Amino acid sequence: MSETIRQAVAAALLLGALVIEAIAVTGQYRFHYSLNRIHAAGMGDTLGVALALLAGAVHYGLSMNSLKLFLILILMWMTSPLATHMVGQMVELTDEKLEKEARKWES
Amino acid sequence: MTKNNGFFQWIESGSQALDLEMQDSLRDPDEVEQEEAARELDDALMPAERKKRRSVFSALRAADTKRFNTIYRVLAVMLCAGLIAFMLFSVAQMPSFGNPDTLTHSELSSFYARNTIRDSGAANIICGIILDYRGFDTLGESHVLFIAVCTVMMLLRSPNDGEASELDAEDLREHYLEVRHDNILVMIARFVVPVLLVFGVYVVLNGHLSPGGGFSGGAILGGALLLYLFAYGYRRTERFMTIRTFRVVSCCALVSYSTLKCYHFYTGVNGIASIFRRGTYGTLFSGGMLLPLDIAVGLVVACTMYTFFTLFRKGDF
Repeated sequence: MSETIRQAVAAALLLGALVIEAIAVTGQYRFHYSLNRIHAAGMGDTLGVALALLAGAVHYGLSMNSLKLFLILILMWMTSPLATHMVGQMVELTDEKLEKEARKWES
Repeated sequence: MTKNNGFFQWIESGSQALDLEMQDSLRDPDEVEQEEAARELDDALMPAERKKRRSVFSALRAADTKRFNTIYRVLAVMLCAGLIAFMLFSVAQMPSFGNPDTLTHSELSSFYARNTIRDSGAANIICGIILDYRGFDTLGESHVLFIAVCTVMMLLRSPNDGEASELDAEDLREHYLEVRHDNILVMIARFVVPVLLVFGVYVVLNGHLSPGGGFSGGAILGGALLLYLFAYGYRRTERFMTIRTFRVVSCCALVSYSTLKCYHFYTGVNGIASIFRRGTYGTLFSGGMLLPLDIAVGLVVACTMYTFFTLFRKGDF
């Protein structure tokens, strides 16, 4: 019984990850400005990946595999926001129309 | 033929044909001006008929463009449809899944599956295949990487001719080429770079035991070097990674790879016992010479990745 519940929790987490990733991908196509798009992509990079890896960890239980998954999660959470940060900084540095785009979302 | 034109001058004196100044029009500038004024006048006084003809002409050209666009679209759609049909046809021709008589279930793959462990002692069959059965292939690939770097170096490396003043070069370096200091990046790199280096070494060393190997491990090592470069800048990276390091490491790795392979073939053909023992199956020091070969390939790949980036970024290092 507990085994079934555990697998059900893993499946629910995986489903949540899928939903988050779908939202992130949709955001990529719905937004047309790079800063808005990295906002959408960052969600899939952090929460989506975290849910998927958690699903794996729940599926395996406490073992070497889940430890590895947690390690991957830590590295992903360190590196992918960093990548987002660098992209955002590059946009801020190079985009001439930044002010105009920012005004557009003010109103 | 006059001997006065650029080509013969170039042959005789060695001067660059392209360096010669472009000659102005031989005509008098006043004359050109008059001509232009006359043409403008002509335009203004142009009879209605000619104007009409001109508009018809442009309309014809527009029609031509339109026709071209139509044909272009039709042909593009036809080409795409043809390609799709071709691919669907090929898919339909493919053998059914699980059919034992297909090419993928031919003798070769089952031969590899049966004999790789006995022949090479590698737990990772792919490593046994690419470094043992197809050792020449991997040797060629490593040399291709090295040759590619050499070519890029020839094309992009900017010569230090010493003409530019020291200050200018320093200025350029500081403001244009040196990476921007970023605290977040440095903090993350401080943690991630050692992890990446250790992971890369792990992948290279366990190439014959687990998925991975020289190429993938070398790519991870190169990525770690690049992250270090992004975080700390060229000045700090060049303390340990210069063009000299690249030359020494790459050449040593390639030469040792070739030598090991020659030794391997020599002993294999003549039936002499190799000094590289088969070892216990599944331990780190097993699989004979696969481990040193993996290390050589990994070093070449890591150096190549770093060098490529640096050469494209600033043409020198």
